[in-house]
Amino acid sequence: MFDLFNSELRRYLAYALGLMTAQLAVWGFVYTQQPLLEFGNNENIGTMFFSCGTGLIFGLVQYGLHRLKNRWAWLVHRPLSLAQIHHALFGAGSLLLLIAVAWPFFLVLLLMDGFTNEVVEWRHYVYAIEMGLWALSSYALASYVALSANKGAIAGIGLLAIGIVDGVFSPALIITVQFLIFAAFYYLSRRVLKPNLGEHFKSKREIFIAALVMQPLLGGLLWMSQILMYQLPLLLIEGPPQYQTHPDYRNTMSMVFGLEADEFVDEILKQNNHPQRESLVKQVALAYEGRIKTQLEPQPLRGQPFNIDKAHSLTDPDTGNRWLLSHNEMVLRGLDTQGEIIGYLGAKGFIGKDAQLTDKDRFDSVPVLLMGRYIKTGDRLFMVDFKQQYLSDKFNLPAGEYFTSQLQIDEKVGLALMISNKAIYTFDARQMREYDEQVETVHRIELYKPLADQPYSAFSELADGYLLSFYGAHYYGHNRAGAALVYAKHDGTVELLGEKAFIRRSPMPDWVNHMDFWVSPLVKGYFFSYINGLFKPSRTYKYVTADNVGERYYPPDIVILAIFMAFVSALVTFLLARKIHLSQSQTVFWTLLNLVFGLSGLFAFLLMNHWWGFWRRPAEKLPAGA
Amino acid sequence: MKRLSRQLAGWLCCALMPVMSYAVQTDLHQAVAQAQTMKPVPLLKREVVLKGSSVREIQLSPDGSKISYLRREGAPGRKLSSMWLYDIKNAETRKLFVFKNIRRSIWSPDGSGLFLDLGHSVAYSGIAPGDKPRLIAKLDTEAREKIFARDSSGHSSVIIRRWNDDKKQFALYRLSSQSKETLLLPLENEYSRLLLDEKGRPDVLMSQNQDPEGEEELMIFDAQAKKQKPLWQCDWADECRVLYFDRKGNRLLMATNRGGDLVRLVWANMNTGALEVVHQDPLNFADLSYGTEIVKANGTPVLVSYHGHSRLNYGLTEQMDEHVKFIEGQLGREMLFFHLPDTARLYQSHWLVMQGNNRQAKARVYLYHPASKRLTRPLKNIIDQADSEQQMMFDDQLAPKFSIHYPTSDGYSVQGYLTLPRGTAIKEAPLVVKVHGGPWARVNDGVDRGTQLLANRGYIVFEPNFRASKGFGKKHMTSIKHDYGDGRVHKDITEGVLYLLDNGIGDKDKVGIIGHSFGGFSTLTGLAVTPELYKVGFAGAPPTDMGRSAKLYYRFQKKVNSSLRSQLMKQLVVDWEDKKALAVNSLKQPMNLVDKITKPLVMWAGKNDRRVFIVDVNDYATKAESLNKKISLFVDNTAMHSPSGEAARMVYMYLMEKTLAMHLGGKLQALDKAQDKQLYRNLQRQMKMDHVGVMGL
Repeated sequence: MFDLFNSELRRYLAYALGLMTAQLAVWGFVYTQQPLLEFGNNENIGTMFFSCGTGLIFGLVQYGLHRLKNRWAWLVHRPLSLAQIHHALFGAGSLLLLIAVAWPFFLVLLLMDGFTNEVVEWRHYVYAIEMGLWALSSYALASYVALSANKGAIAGIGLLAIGIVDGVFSPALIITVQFLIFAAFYYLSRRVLKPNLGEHFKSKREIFIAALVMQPLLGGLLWMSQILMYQLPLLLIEGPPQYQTHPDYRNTMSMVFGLEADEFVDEILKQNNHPQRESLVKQVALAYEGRIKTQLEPQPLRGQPFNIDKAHSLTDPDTGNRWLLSHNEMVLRGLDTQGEIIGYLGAKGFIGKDAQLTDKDRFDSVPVLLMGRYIKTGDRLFMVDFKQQYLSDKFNLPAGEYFTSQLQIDEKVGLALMISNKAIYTFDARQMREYDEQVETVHRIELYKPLADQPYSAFSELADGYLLSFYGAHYYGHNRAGAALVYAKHDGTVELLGEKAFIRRSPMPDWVNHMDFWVSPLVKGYFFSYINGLFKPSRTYKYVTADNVGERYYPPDIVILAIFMAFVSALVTFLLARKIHLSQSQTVFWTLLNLVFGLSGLFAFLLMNHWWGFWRRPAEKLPAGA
Repeated sequence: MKRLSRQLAGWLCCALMPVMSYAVQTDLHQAVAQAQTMKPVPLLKREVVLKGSSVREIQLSPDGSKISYLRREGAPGRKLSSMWLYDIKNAETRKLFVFKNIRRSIWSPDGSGLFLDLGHSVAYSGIAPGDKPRLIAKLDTEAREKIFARDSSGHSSVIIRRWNDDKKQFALYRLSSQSKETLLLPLENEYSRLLLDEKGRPDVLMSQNQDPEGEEELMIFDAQAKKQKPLWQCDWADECRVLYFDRKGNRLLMATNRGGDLVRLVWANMNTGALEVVHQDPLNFADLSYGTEIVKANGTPVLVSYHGHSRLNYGLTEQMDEHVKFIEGQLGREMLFFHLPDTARLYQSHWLVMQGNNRQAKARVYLYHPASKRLTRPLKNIIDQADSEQQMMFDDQLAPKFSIHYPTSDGYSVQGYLTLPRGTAIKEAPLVVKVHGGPWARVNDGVDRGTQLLANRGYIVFEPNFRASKGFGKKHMTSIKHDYGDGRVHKDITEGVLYLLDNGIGDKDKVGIIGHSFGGFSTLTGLAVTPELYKVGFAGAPPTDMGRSAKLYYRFQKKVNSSLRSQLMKQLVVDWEDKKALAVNSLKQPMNLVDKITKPLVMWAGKNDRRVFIVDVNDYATKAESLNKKISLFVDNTAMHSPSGEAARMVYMYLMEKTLAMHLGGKLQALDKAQDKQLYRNLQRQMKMDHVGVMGL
């Protein structure tokens, strides 16, 4: 086994070392150009693509070469068990990948940790572990794809995408989920290594895992198939879709996207025939319109991987000194341009480098660094004066409130605003920019519904106040789209002028709108959307959490369709299984599995079994599972 | 004949000068004596002295039945104000609405409501109970669309300027309160002013000659003529404001100094070109001020004002004169501002009379009813109540301010204002010359809070209207050419200081010079040219070379497509396109005289200044620093040409106060690090250079 391991290692070692050197050179170059550990989204995506891409390519090449006819026979007929062969190949491949992908960054972190004053913490090392897991998971998937009789094995790539984190979560869970993904692919990679490469999985465990990992992508593809099943035929028959003329259009949320601001106001206010309707409609057409970002931005979690941070440091524009965010110390560490520590910046302000940090100096929640000079914690906004080494307390939320979005400033109308879980706060933009002064709240606009469920909002500036519009697909609850109009006057009064409930999100039929649900209601609709929601809390709404399952709503006909399709999938699976002569146990298993997995499960079944042509040879008895 | 009368006027002026000077000098000694016996005022907080009334923009409705005014709403940081309405007949006050971004309000000509300028849109608010403000037009501010003029049609409307991107030209529209826009006139040129006739039709348009070969003459056009042809033309140095176009008589009623020195009211006959003077300053001293009232129907002028030593009003009809004299009899003559209703209701409705003389800490608002000759102050309690939430100066804390004349070494007489600290030995008091900006501007007779702050700190404040200042005739403004810097203008300023010292006003060892913009330029000049006189200087946003600053300023204006008026600068300062002239001129500019400075200088500059570019101020400071001069530079990172916002203004005032206190010994509201945290930190943060030591506590 070790010989095989050694030979496999030697075969690719030069490439791995070459890639390692290249990667080290890249990190070294980046280090000379910019702070290395201040990843933005682009760097994160680049790193992720590099790690996954390397794993996938290497896996496909390594196992692709082995499965060539003669080589395969030579490989599997060694005096070694299949498990030993797999351990040798996979072990060597994994080691090579770790050398080429994860080790260089880990080494860079170690060097920076040991020889510089840069903030290097566990959450940075977690990223190196993530890189390794991305590479290993991709590699395991590639080995499985290369050796599998299942032509749809590559669909497992959809599961890899779920493991990519862009939200807030603890490193422990991130690594756990990513490790589970790796474990699933590793298991498949191990089980697929068998002398007969054309043989599909037979054991229930293998089938279950292989089918499960395909579900995110198969569900997605099935959802996209509506293009072929609905949009394209419609386009060919009726020309480009004219949703505006659809009888239901004005009762769907799609209508809002096609409306000008004044038309939106008209639409809302005609619901209750508001007395100011005509006047407000005319005014909004003439008003300055600005956007409000109401998208939920969760408070960062202490110890979260560093790539998730919105910003990693604040830079003093005069001196070039950097103040780096430390989750361990819950302060910012100041470094001069030579990299020497010059002090700390905590909740009480600047602290000398030799001073002992106390708990009072630390921020009580992970600070978010904004616009190069603001620090936002869960309920406080600070402004940093580098020259004065002074931290001014700009704004504090009342007890029980926490920020749900960033500071937003619209220079054109001199408006600054922040959003909490209970209200929208507006300020004068100039005062917000002034140092050393608490900013006065101009308006406190109480939220009558959680903004996270109505992610679109805008304001129009009228003479005596702001007209705020809100709308979202889950305004009245899950899948109950709605919109509202609020008049926040400068005299302090806030009035909900009107609301409108939509029958659905778009004029397309419910079966198209909710296709993502009924093709795989339990596995994709609930299980994977829950996992996805954990990792991407800012992209979604509250109904993805396990707590809100009971609050979810789908139209009754869609629920019936989902149940019907599950039964159809199970029935088709059963009939096909019988037709292709699967064993009784496999037939029952697949049938029950697809009762749970639904239509996407049926497609997994089709990809994982030899069923093609069964109608041509009804009398022929195919070998079970062949 | 014309030439003879001009000569006669000139002779009279020169002959009267010594008499005027003597008369003023007598008053000067009396004023000094009076100021010395006044009860001294304790050191007042900077915020208190600088705080203005929270009620502002008081306007009379066109029918004279109502008054609108604005009131600050809540904490200053919220930047909210409310619009209020006072019903004169019922003596009732009503809050109309609260707003944030309204730049100005304009009464609708029919008195039914107010047009509100929000910059990027126009709103209208009716004044009937239940009326709410509503937007009626959107303006493209990037295309420089704006409210262009008040309407005189008598309807509820205002005139706006719109940009037609297809035709690449502006057009004027009448915008009704119902949001209806009616094209009035496409504009072939970028006109600066429009005059409507009594029916609201465009009557006269005014624009600067934009021909690059021309000299930026002011052109006056008949807006109703099919083919654009100038009715009248004025030179670059002339002031020409058309007030009425008498079509029948083919004559223009104008405020102009064309064909003379002072701006006066004339009928310009377009057939003969003759100017018939209707009225000019009886003291033969000042230009006609803005605010001339005319009868709309026939252009008969009824009221004029001149601001010489102080603002004085003259009724031009017997009836008007009687009322003006009655009001003056009650309130005194000086600094009265009349807001009259429509001339059709002139003697039936109320008049709004604002009094803003330098003996009042805040303006007084009167209502005058001409039919009953009754003068009342209905808003007094309202204003007092609004101001009760803030500390302000009282009348008896104001330092006395009065006009003086002094002779210059070239035989000219210059007017200026002198503010004396109360209860102080004037001979030993420090003297500060505060030079106004522009330089084509002036100091007037009203209360200046910055000046009062200095007087409260014990300084005598001298504010000269040196040659180049506006308001005292064409000759006064334009006779000094290419002589800024080490030249005549500076001599005018300094000779005023010497005159005061010679008259026992101020301690010659405690003289300082301060100013903003051109005043800052004069400060740099003063310290370089007369270092033996000035012991310290404080300069705000100072150009360091007038020629270079003018060149950069106009280059920038052109870049941002703003209107240009470069001829005045080129004629009076230097033609920057003439490299030789520019080089000669620069020799007497402060930038080239830095080495002559021996006294401390503190400078303030706005980082985003688009008139005086920060790079020039920085260069000057760096050069002075390299020559080991005692110089300090504060750069306000958010300001343009002036400090903006209360915090920034406090920094500016503190720096000025501290600079003078350190070197002239005046009083100082010391900086308390704990209490004045914001001020202290602002100073620390934005002080770029401090060799004077103003940062020391």
